[in-house]
Amino acid sequence: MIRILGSFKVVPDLDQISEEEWASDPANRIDTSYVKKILSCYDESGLEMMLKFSDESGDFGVPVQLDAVTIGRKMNENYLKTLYALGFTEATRIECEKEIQFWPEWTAGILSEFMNQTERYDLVVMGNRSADEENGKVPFLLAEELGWPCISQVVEIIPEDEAHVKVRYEVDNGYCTSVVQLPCILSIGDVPCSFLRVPTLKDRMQKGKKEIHRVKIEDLGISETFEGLQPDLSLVNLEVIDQSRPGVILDGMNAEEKAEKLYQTYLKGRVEL
Amino acid sequence: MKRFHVVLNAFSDDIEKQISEICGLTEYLLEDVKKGNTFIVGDGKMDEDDKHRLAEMAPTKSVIFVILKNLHTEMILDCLMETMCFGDVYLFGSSSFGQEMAIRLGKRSDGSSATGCQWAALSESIVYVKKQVYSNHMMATFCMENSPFCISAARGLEGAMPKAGKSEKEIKTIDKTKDQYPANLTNTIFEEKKPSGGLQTASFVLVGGRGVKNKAGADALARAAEGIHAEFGASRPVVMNAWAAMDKLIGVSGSMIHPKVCITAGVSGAAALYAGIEKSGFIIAINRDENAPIMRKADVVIVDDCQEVLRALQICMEKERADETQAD
Ligand SMILES: Cc1cc2nc3c(=O)[nH]c(=O)nc-3n(C[C@H](O)[C@H](O)[C@H](O)COP(=O)(O)OP(=O)(O)OC[C@H]3O[C@@H](n4cnc5c(N)ncnc54)[C@H](O)[C@@H]3O)c2cc1C
Repeated sequence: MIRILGSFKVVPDLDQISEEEWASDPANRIDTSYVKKILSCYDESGLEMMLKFSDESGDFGVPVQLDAVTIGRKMNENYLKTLYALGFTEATRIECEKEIQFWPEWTAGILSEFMNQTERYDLVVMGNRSADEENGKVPFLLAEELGWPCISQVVEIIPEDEAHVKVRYEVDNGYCTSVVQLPCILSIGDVPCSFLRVPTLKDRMQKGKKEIHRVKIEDLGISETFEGLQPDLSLVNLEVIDQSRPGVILDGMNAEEKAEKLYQTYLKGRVEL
Repeated sequence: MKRFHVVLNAFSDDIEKQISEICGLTEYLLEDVKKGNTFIVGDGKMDEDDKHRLAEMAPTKSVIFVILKNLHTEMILDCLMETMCFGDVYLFGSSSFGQEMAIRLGKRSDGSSATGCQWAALSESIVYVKKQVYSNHMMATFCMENSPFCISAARGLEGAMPKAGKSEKEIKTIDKTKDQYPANLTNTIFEEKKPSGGLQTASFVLVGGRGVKNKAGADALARAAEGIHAEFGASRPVVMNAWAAMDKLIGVSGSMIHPKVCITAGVSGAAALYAGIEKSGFIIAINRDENAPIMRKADVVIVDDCQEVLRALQICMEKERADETQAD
């Protein structure tokens, strides 16, 4: 059996914050606590790819178990319930009420302790970066902690046998497809049509109520006050990136008139006919 | 005194871009950073002429070729670790190779790593980096804590290429082709990427967003792009829904473009997309919502249905073309 752990992060939907709000924060520390939370988009692709892999694994005679883990607040458990409803076997929340930012070493350290304390995993699937931090560090740091290989920019995972998976991944000038020996970490890139599927109401009722495992950070041997730990990067300053341009409105009675004005006033001479 | 080393990937054919990115990153590194080595990793197919040409472009005097059977990060990490000194700064390009190497080298050497950086500078022995965070809304300055410092560049950075040196380069070669390679990846098949239809070099680009609504809408917009002689690009939701091919993606995850004119159609103007078009000379936004963020990030805006405006623009430009031909 191949046991796959999907790791995900719940993040504020930063597109919902207006330009004024970005600019108005006096301390230059962004409070995102009031913003709607979403599944980090690359992690979402990873979870859906795990489900697709599991759908196909039967044809290859490879049994698969899908598990999920997230570090964060209680509200993250809604996503874990959805994953149960979609057929995941074990779902764990590593409890952390604090908003930890710009500290991927901490995240990777916790995930590696969690993996050392749980049963054997063959494959870890995670998004290649999150919207808020944009470091792309966690998958590689975890790989270094565990001494596992890590393949990044993965776009497809295909069953092979119990000790291998076939992986398609983007490289600088193309795509590679390789047979990968397990264990391994796969970090997911841009994959079309990988939105997480929606469970049926029946599955929500029947499977979505399974008990979620909760793990305390101290139980992983890491102090909650982060004593002795230090991020690679310490934040010194934050500035708003000013992207503003004049935004002159082109009026007209209808689309035709506006298009004509656009061409005559702004495009003629600027672009080739 | 700190030395800075540059690591380039000659398995990829964009070495000049990698150097330009690294030069963009280090424009502000103080003079007293003693130049170290440029490591160029490549395969045995490089002949002496190739090596000479690559060495000429290298930003440091000392150039070390690391020859591998294939691009295997473990082999490169071993090689870098062997020559590492306390205080060293390692610089990498923006590609996934550069990012992976920076992170792994930082971790393995008990140093620190920073990825996707716009800027790196040294002040009183402390290394500072700047990078975009919060989905490209903010620019953060970080201080790097531990030596060695491993830094990869942000996509789209461009710096002045080093002038071809007057002094002779010192070239060394480390041959790793006969070493034992870890066998965790086998049967690798490589497919080269198709060129992305000239988005990088186009002078006129039309970018379609989720406002195209479906595949038919995206196809209609792509045809309109052809009609007005613009290259067609798309936002993330458009490619994620497979309404357009992935190589059309514009933004931090796709192409960073710098056309003379860029029209966005049905695009809200999220910072992650905008970072990909901000170097455009002139930006025109067409959106039904006058309060969409893009309306304040464009030079000119049209509040209307994007398909209707583009259909009308295509007709208008075709008519102009016909008039011009007649006048000729
Ligand atoms: C780590 C990370 C990386 C990302 N990288 C990228 C990237 O590289 N590129 C990218 O694009 N996104 C990227 N994103 C996603 C980005 O944050 C936005 O979600 C995305 O750009 C929104 O795309 P959109 O503007 O097409 O869609 P939406 O935000 O949904 O906007 C659609 C717009 O269309 C308008 N509209 C609707 N109908 C019409 C009509 N008929 N006529 C005119 N206007 C209409 C609406 O008013 C709206 O403003 C990234 C996100 C993350 C987290």
